[in-house]
Amino acid sequence: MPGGLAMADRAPDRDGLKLDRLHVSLGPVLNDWPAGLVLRVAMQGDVLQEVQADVYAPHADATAFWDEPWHRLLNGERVSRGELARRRAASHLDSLGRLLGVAGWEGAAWSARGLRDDLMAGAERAVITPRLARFARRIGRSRLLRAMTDGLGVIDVGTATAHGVTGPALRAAASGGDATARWQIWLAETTEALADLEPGEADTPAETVEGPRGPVDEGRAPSEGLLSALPSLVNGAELAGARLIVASLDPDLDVLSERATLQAAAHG
Amino acid sequence: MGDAAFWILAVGAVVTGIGVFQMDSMARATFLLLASFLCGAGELLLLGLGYLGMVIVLMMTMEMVVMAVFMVMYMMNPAGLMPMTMVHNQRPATVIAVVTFAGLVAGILLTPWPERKGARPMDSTMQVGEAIMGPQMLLMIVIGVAILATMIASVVLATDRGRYDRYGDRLERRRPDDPIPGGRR
Amino acid sequence: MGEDIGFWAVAGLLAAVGGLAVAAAMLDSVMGAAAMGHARPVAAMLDPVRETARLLVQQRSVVPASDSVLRLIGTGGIVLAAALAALVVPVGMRPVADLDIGVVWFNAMEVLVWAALWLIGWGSNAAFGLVGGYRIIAQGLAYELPHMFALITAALGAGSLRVGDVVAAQSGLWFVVWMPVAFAVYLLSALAMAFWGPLGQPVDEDLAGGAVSELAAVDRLVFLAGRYALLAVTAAFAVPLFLGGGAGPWLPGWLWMLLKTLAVLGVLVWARWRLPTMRMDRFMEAAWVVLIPAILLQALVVGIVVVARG
Repeated sequence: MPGGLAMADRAPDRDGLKLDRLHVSLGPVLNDWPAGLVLRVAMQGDVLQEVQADVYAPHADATAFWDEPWHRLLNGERVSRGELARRRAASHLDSLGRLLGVAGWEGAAWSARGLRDDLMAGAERAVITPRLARFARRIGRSRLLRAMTDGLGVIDVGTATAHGVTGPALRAAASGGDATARWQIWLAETTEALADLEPGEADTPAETVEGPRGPVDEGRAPSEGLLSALPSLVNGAELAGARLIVASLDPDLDVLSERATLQAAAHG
Repeated sequence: MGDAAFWILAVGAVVTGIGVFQMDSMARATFLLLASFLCGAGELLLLGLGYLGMVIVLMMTMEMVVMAVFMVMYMMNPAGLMPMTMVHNQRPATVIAVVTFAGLVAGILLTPWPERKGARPMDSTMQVGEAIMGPQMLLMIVIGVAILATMIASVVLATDRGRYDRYGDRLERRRPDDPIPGGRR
Repeated sequence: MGEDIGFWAVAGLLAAVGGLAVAAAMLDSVMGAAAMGHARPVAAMLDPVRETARLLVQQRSVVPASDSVLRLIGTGGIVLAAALAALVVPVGMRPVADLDIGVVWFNAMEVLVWAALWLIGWGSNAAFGLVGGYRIIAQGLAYELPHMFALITAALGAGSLRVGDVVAAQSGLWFVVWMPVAFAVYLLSALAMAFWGPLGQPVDEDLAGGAVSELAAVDRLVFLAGRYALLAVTAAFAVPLFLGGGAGPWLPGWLWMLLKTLAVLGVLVWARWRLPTMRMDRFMEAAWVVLIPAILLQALVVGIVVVARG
């Protein structure tokens, strides 16, 4: 074995040929990648096959940053609608920044990250709204971005129910369910959330337990559904498409329930 | 200067050509073959045939890059990590290669090459164009159509999906149904 | 062929290409800093200098069982191709080497870049590097035919493959005015030739750098220099082809050439921050079904005009 490396073995490919394939792990660390996610795949060319999703578990006491206010709400604390809206908008912008980064649109990705940071730093609605509108117009009107994300990683309502997908990904299933539908939902919900940043609303106590990625009061963390749907979506996709699919789902590995963490740990 | 360049390119073409069969890596073999072609193109440039020389550089680079993909895809041991040989049926192959080479060299040396008549043309590209597009026009058109027909026919024979698979039995679909979409929507 | 090429002319040309490459890198840093929302983006102008210093002291990386010979040939090949392509770019009205087949020369040098980038990706012996290397071939097959027809259209309008003649033929009317489709296709393929921005998929960040993901230290520095030089040369070549070369009022030819080149370069760098990356599995069909017929129609129009003019 030269260099101590095993040779690639061969297997049938999607076009009826028999080609080399290579076993590769994507993650746990890549730029604009859900940190800790590992996809173990067999690659033929840049086509992914036999995809297995594993999770390098976060610390046992990790707090789920993006869901944290909703957990406080569940614990009976008083949380204002304004705070929830702010966290939801920032979380979606965080996801959008990753997706745009993977899509190779660095200018727009940095706009999303800048908006997220300013929201988290407590920027006022009057400051954020025009900037977000400009950003939303820019990416919402990009035919090129839509052409690149259309038809990728389709989750229809049936698939979503089967895997227990909730939140924006489930709402996107109604309008096509592809990566485009998912980022458009993020964009729309970010804009909606800004309406709740009104000074009057900021003090109103909130009641909803619907976090950025889905309801947080169920036994199952919202990202578990995304993680369960992921392998079948990226199986057979090309590497660039697979990266976009992962980014368009953007599972938050901090919020996996203890059960999923244990499973992943046993597997790893 | 010209003589030195000729000999460097000539020896280079032969040495890299032999090198193709000494390599145990598809990538190296392919790019040695490209180097050999580039030396040949250099000889054409020395002859003052700028257009033909550069077209060889252009076409051969593209061809070899594409060929590398297929070589790696179809041949065993693509990475050249394990010992392998580019030569099969070694002894007859060597004999055939040497005899062919000797025959071609003999042809070059024995041919009574004509002396140059008249002055060197200002623009050899124009001359090539006139030769192809003038008296040989009919032949070139026929060859062009024949090559195109061959390409289309080979694609048709190679593909296992036709337009009825893509657009439905009555061609009723607006978007083709492809296992891997081509981007048209 | 066979014109004498002065040593100082070549040295001056390479210095100009180097200067433009540095300018492109600085412009990119500034635009990037502006996009990231830095308070004073102009301060990022010196980032390329810092990056150069960092790469010079960085340790070279070696991947087990990599083919370092092929990788070195590929890295050097990018610089070499950029330098050779620059020979036919006119500084003012005439190029340093005014070859009678200048347009074909440029085209051939640019195709050498495919081979070079594939060799870097292959020689790295890494999965992402290899995928990136294959991406340049797919991209080449998508853009090369429209690109060739765009070059041919300009040559057809001038009735010559000599770059000097193409410039001279635009003394009345710039080609961009009556060959807009060819110019647009050329700009698109300029991005592809330098695998930059929207057509930068071979070295895209989704593969952590793609074909060049394993390059570090001096290797990466040489690659980056070659890549920015390629961007500068492809931008510069748009000027003699479509923008009248060094023609312009008041200022000397070389200065007009420089200003126009910087303008095209600015557009190319801006495109990186303004557009997402095009994936070839989506772009290929558009390239063949839309771009090729469009540029063929453009060539037909130009051909008819040329014949009608006599």
